[in-house]
This record gives sequence, structure tokens and C-alpha cells, in this order.
Amino acid sequence: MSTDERPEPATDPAVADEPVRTADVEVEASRTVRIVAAVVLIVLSGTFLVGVFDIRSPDGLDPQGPRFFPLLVTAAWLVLSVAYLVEGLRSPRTTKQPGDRAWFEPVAVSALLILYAFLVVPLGYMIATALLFFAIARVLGSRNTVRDAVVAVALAVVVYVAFTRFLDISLPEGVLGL
Amino acid sequence: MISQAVFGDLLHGFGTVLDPMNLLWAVLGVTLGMLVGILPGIGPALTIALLLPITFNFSDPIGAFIMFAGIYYGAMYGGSTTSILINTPGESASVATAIEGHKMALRGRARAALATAAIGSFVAGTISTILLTFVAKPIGQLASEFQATDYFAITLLAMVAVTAIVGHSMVRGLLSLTVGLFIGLIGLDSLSGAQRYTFGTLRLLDGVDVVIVIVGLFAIGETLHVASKLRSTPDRPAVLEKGRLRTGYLNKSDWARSWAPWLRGTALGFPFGAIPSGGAEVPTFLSYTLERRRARKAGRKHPDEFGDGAIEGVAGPEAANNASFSGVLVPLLTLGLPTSATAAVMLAAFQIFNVQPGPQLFEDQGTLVWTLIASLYVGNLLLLIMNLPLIQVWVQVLKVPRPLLYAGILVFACLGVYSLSGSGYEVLLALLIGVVGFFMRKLDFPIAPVILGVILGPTMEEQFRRALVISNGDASVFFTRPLSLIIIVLTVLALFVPYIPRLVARIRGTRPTRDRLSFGEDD
Repeated sequence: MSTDERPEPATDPAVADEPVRTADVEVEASRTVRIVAAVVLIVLSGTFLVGVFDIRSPDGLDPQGPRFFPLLVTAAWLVLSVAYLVEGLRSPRTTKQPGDRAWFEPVAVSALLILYAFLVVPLGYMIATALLFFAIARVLGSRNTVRDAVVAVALAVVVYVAFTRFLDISLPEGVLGL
Repeated sequence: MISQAVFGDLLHGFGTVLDPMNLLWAVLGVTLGMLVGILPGIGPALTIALLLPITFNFSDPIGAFIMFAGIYYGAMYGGSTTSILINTPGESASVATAIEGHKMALRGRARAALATAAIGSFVAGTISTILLTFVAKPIGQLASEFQATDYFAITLLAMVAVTAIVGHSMVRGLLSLTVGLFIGLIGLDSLSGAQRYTFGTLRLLDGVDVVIVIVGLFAIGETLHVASKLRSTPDRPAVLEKGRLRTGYLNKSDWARSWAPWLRGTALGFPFGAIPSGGAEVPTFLSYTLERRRARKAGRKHPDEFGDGAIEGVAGPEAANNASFSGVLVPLLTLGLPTSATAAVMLAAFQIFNVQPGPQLFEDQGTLVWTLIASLYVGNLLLLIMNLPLIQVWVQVLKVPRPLLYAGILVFACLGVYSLSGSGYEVLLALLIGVVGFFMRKLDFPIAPVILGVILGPTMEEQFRRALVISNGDASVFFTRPLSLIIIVLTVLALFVPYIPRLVARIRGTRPTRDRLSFGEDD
């Protein structure tokens, strides 16, 4: 049998025309992405290395004090980031990135999760969760509206009831006030 | 010579497990583990992390741990089913199974593949649990001799060995490790009370909970990654037709070809699980290679079946996979040392219940440990019973459409994080970590070292500083105590393990097949 629905390839002809990739072969990130990542890592580790001096310690950099380990970790991180940058700079330019549409779904899913984090208390667990499930299923390409809605509501209700009634874990009631 | 006390303790453990309520937790754990574990792309580590919130309200850790053991076994069995039927291993330990098992399924031998995996797992799980029963307590007593320097050395060994062996690049592996170590630094320093990397917010004073890191990296990161590829990946391979599955269990020749690989797989799995080597990856791959080599050398009736669905290639690795879990429990219970990502999640679970694994565990929490060990026997048996006749039922789970599957994973991920803290802030933190995980996947950074860094970093630092305080700041203590020195030397050697094939090839004058000896992750 085949799965009942797929994301519509027709909306994006560039992707549809591409030959199907072999399943589960990782697409190596492009050289540019790797270099950018290395620079980000260097900046982060450099900042945190400087941040070692924000840690208050009477003993300075004494190995027994609270600063020594952070110093070690962030310094190692910085050195390794530089090594990674060198690796990236020496890599060939041939690797190809998947279509730029590939960024839409992760960004949309992240946005939905941020929204969820803010709405879960005011709206209540059940409503917020049902909406989250439905929206993510849509973003990920589900096109069966009725089924998605039914599953979303059922899942949210079952989880809420199971956790609050049987497991005594409190979840936000929200506007429903159940 | 084997003390009767062990039998007494174990019997007592069985007494607790077989209490109807506890037995119910075992059945529930096994069922849930199987249900979640069978979903494509979800390995045991994520399964346990997603199911952790269910146990938050358990006042008594015993019930929770009986359930964990069940969840773990269930997730492992589920993983093999997924590998065989749709060729999407949720964890790299199932990759070998996927290679041969899926080919067997395509040839209409799915039942035999599933049966040899299930029976092999049962045989391996039972034998290795027996080994665990007799090995754990003596090792725990040995470990009670450990001093701070030894602890420091052994945590270092665990982190470095797992980092070196898992993943494709040493630089990226070590980078992952340092990021994990950094996350572990966040919060109040346990010895001096100094604030470290709290960025001026009170919320970070307690540090970042390891469950948030695990759920963020595994569940959210994985979903974002899948989301980015949904359009460019081909349709899910079809689930096998019902009729095809009814080709019977193992026939005579299958049994004859399976039993020896089961035992060899067990022999590889248990010790490799017990040493810090990333858990089940190494033994399963070794078992697969071993069976293949034996088949070629012996020139038996089926030498060419490897790569085309050889039953030995399912029997051996599956046995090794299951045996390694009991092996992993040896350092976890006796030293509090997780040697794989899954073990790290288990350790997090222990800590939630304020149970500190280590040499004192057998003294302080005797009932808990022996009940846990007894529940391994029970869980194994339950799975065998549930698996063989009910496989048709489990197969239905595989048909969940992917968008709904991943939406569901995110709902449970949020639930787990939320119920941990009761605030949306932690959900945002988990998302942030998930985004990091997403880029780590894109850039091929291994995940397991991050988890080990978060969980072992604080212990390592504490033992390091304690050792220095005891020695009055004299750093030579790490090299003057023989046990510590041996472990540190092993740590350095571990860094070279991945380069052994290349060296061997150079000595032999042949070209290496691959640059490094490396494995996937997510055990």
C-alpha cells in the first residue's frame, strides 16, 4: 500500500522536476553553510571564553575554583571551531544544497512552537495543543482536513484527561476551565 | 561459589515485579515502548525521553523503573520490526537488521526475519540479564574502592570513547562534546555557588535540564530535519502485504542457521555494552561483519545470501543489540556512568527520582535494583509473547501518515518539557536546542556526545576538583594512582581507535575501504 497523501509537488515545479533522491542519504551541507557555521561557533566560543571572567571567584583561575573548567571547555571549543573552519575552507565547492523551499517547513514549525509556548497558558492546554497539532500536520503536507482536525482534537483531549485526571500532572485549563 | 545472596536478592526482586500492580506497569511499559519504538525514525533514547513525563507522578520509583525497563525493551523490539518491514531504522543499532531483514521481507520471508529477531533478542536478553545478575554486585563492590581521580578518569574515558567511535569526524564529534559540556556548565556551580553562564536570568540558575536537551535535540531537531526534507524524499516504502507475512515462523533450516549467531551476538553485545563504546552500534556491526565473514569462509549453502537477505545477518546483530543493553546497565548501575545516549536518558530518569546510581546503589536501593533486574527477565518474556502472535497488530502502527506522526511527536515533546517545569519558557528553550539539533543534523554533527557532555560534564568537574582539593592542588594525583593512570591511558588510546583500519591497511599495503572506522548514533 502507499501512504494516502503527499505534499503537493505541483506547487513547486523545481522540486518536482528533480530526480528522486535515494532515501536516507544525507545531503552534505554546502561549503558556505559550513563556513558560516564555523564562524558562528568561533564567535560563540570566543564570547563564552571572555565570559569566564564574569564568573565570580576569589581564587582567580585556580583549578579548584569555578572558573577553571569553563575556561578549559570554552578554549577547547574555540580551538575545535577553528579546526572546523579550516576543514570547511579546504572542502571542495561541488556539494549542492537542496532546494531553498527546504527552509520553509522548519521555519514554520519553529514559529508554531514559539506561538504555542505563549498561547498554551491563556488558551489552555487542549485548545492550544489541538491547534498546534493541526497546524503542524498541515505544514508537513497533510491534506486531509477532516481527519487532521479529528485526530488533533481527540489527541489533545485524551492527553489532557489522561495526564490531569490519571497522572495528576497539572496542565493549563485556559478558557475552557475544565 | 556464587553467593546464595544473589539468588535471594533476585528472588526478592521477582517477588516485587510479580506483584499485580507492578506487572501491570511492566505490560504497560512494554506496550508503550513497542508502540512508540515501532514508529519510523524513533529510537529507544527518544522513546524514553518522550515517555518520561508519564512517570513524573510515580511516588515510588520502583513502578517507574519497571516501566522504563519495559519501555526500553519494547522500543528495541519495535525498532527491529520497523527496520525489517520498511527499512527505516530508528537507530543505527538496527541498521544491520535493516540491511538483511528488509531484503528477507522483500523475498516474502518477513515472518522468519521478525521471528529470528524476536527469539534472538529474547535469548540474548535473557543470557545477558543472567550475566548482569552475577556481575553487577561484585563490580559495584569493586567500584566502591574508586576514588575521585578514578571517577574523573572514567567519566573522561566514557565521553571520549563514545565521541571517538560515534560519528564521522573527530573534530565534529569533539565539538559536539564541548557544546554539551558547556550546557552542563550553565547554572550555579555546585561547589562554590558561583553563577556561570546564567546570562542574568533566574531561570537558568538551576541549569538546563537534561530532559530538555534530549527532547530538544532528538525530538524537535529530528522533526525540523524531517520537515525540511519531506518534499524531497521519496514516498515511504510500502508496508508489506498481509498475505506475505503469513509464511510461517522459523523452519528447521532457519533454526539451524540462527542459533549460533544468536549466541555469538550475545557474546559480542554484553561486553561491548559494558565498556564505554557508544552502546549497541559497535557490537551490532561487529556481529554483522562476523556472520558475513563466517558465511563466506565456510562456503556454506547460502554464502551469497548476504546483502540479499541472510537470516544470520538478522539473528546476530539483533542478539548483539539486546545483549548490549544489559551490558550498558553494568556501568550505569555500578558507577553511575552512562556509556550511550540511551543510558544517559536512563540516568536522567534515575536522577528525577533522586536515585543516584553508583557503588552504593546496591546497598541503598537494593530492592529497586533487584526489582529492575528481575523486570528485565519479565520484560523480555512479555515481548516474546506479545511479538510473535501479535505482529499483525503492530504493523498497523507503521501506517500512521508521516505529517501526523511528526505533529504527534512534537505534541508529546512539548508535553514532556512542559510537565517538567510548568512553564512555556522551557518549551522555548527546548525549541532553541531543537534548532541547534537541526543544524547539527544538516552539518553532520553527532548528537550523542552532546548528551554525554551535559550529563557527565558536571560529575567530571566535581570529581576533578574534589581530587585536587584532597591532594592540596597537586595535579600529579591523576598520574600517580595506577588505576587512574590506566584509565587515562585508555582514554588517549580511544582517540586512535577510529584510525586503526587505516593503519592496518597501510601496514598491509592495501587501500582502506573507508577513511575511518565509524558508526552512526542515536543508540
